[in-house]
Amino acid sequence: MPYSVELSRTNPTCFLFLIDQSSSMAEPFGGQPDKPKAEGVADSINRLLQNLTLKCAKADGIRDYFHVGVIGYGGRVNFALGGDLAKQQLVPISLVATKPLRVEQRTRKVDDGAGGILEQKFKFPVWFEPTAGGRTPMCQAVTTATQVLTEFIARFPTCFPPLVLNISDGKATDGNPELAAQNLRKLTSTDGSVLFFNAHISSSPVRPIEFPATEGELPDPEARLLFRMSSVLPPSLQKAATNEGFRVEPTTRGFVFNADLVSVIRFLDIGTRVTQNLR
Amino acid sequence: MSTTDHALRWQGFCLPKRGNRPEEYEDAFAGNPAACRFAIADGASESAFAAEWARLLVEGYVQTPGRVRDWLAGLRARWHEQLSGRELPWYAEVKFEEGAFSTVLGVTLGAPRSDRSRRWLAWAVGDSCLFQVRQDELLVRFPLTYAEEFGNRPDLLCSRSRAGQKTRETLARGDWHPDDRLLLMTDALAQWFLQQAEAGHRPWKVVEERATAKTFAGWVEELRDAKTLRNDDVTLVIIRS
Repeated sequence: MPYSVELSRTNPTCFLFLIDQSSSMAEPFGGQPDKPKAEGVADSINRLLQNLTLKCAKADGIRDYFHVGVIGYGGRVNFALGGDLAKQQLVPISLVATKPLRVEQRTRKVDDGAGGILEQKFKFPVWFEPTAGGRTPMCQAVTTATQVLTEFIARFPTCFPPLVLNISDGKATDGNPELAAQNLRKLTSTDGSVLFFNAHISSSPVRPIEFPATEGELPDPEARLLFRMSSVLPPSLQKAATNEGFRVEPTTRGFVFNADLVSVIRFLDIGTRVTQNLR
Repeated sequence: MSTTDHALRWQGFCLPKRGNRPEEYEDAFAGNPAACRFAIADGASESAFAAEWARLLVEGYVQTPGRVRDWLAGLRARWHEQLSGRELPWYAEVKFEEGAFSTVLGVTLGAPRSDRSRRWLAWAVGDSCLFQVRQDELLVRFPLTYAEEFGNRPDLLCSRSRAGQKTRETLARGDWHPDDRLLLMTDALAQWFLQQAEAGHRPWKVVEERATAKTFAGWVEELRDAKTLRNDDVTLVIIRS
């Protein structure tokens, strides 16, 4: 059965993030109008990297079940990890974990179990700052992802198929990205085709939509385009999504609207699951 | 490991997940034949510091008579004490704050009656299993009864107590005859065991034949190679008189 190979340190998979950093990302975010879309994207990628790290974190360090890359596209296409990881295409998750740009000390309010509220300090790693400028070469970004993953699959031919998560407002300026997406989804390891998932960060103040099954339920042409570019969830991920509480049909695609894709990390199996909310 | 007292013999076997180092084994087992208490536990792979928690749980169970709720708080305090005060990187700190998670299964046998039979009482959280075999029959399956019930989200016991937190514990009791065997297994082996039993085989025969200090690891690797056993930490405890 495809999409069933065990994730391990000797046979890791890859998470490749495509981040829209174009000027349109400075427009307000539909979900929170006082916030630009670029901030929504930075929040999203920071949460994704944090959750990916925590999925692999053990007492003695990070287990490299994943290799991670970030491709930014705003004006030009670039490998967008910063600091010590600048310009690197793919790095093991352990390196991502130990090399954020900074670790902020934040506080949150928690229930003290006795009817009161406690202020709890916690560390919050930041890898990405919001940025917005230039045009939107999404086709070129998807093509670059295809090149990076061709190399990764040559290195790990039996891997769980790599996952590409594109976070964008869907307004490509270098053509129709559907063909590039099709080529990306054609890449295969022995366990199945590359999975291409899209998160649409929109200016429309429309309620979030997660993992739809038809494009008819989406509010605008950009959302419908990103939906068509997205992979249909394979049966093993459909089952995992159902277990996580999503309503899933055979045509459900890896697409979310004004929401993030952090839940996708929970669809992957590295062993006994701890039932709790993502951060 | 093998210990004998006047009444009960027990043996424990373990093997880490293939590809993991021995120190990465996160199950645990313990036996206290004098008190007739035995336990296994399976630290959850997605939590950190789980091996320490699984070990505390099995040791706590076999060493401490009485109700679990009476000693659980003390164990949690010990887990916290063992690990607090260290300078941790951000991700380990988050994991420490979340707590460690483990399944656990403990069984206590009562004093022998005049006909040498005994009562037993088992307590479980999650999918670590107990099987009772009498002569050539599988008499008891606890707490899971079918192979298809296993998944990757078992009930777990957390090393931190939280407001509103509910842990689903299950209890079972039964009678023990002098020639009975109790087999305790963590999930991968327990699932294999039930699959075999459901297919009409007699897996207890295989377990009794292949679970020796010399042959256990080779047998588990054979099952993994044949893909009949999920790649996971494996723990087995056999109790007989």
